[in-house]
Amino acid sequence: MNNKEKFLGEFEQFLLLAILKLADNAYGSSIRQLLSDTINRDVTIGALYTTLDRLEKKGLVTSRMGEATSERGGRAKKYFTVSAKGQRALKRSKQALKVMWQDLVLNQHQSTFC
Amino acid sequence: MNESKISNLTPPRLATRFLHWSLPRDLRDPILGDLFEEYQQQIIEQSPTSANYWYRKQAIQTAIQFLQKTKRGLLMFIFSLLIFISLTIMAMVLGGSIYMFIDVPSLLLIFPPALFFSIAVTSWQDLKNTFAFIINNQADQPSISYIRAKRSMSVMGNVGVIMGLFVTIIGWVSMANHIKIDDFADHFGPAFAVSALTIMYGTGLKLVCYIAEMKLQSLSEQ
Repeated sequence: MNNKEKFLGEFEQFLLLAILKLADNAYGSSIRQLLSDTINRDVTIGALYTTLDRLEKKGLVTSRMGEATSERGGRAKKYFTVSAKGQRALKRSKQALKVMWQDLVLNQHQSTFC
Repeated sequence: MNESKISNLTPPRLATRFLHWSLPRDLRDPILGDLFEEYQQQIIEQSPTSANYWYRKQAIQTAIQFLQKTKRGLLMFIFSLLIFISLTIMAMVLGGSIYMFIDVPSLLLIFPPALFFSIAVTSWQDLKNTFAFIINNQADQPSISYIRAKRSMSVMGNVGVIMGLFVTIIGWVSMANHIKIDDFADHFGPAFAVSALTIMYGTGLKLVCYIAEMKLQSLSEQ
């Protein structure tokens, strides 16, 4: 791994995983809904798009505009897909966490490691 | 609530307009569409009142997030203008009283002529464009639009200064003709102060116009 390929932040990982789970239906609202339902994380639409924009600039996701529909007030959706680079970054972060967690057991009562 | 009633409900207009104004052009459709979609859901699941509250909260938080990116120039412009105005007011207050610096006839001799000359030399549309370009930080218009907008600010500022000097000289001529040695000490000071106010208004206007001109210049170079 070169120095430029840093690990993903927690929220970035959540977003990439949500996009992968939603497959062809990953757009702002559905991603927000999934994060709220599955991990109880309520993010503003602005925070979501700011992070998605950053991920797109890094080449970790790609986007395309959909059709305008009446149930959205005649406005188009922006669909997101995780790129190959994004999938590699996710795997790398998962692997790093796995290595860090290895041989560690959390003591539930005292919150210390044993 | 039935379907037809829900479709008649639209999100709060002011919040939508504010958000639309603050978003980058390419994100307007996706973000406003997502919020509209979720707003309809909120009405079904909760009530129109809580949906409106939710929508306003989302719109304001999102707008604030994007304002720093899309309207940075405008925010800095407003910030510098506020600093200029507060420092001017502070100087006036420290100078004695703010009322010493307010004279309605002098204001009428500077601002309306500056505005009318600016419209006469360029056009009302150019003046409107000036405000639109600065407020929206628009840098994608044809360069001729910026040249014309800059000209309207240049004419307005220069007319302000020249009118200020012209009216001050008229004041001096009038003072010199009417003042008598007996009441020189009582009347010269106040009369001179009023005559100098037009220069002050003119140079103040020129300063603001100059900043607007430079802002337009940098927008045209982007």
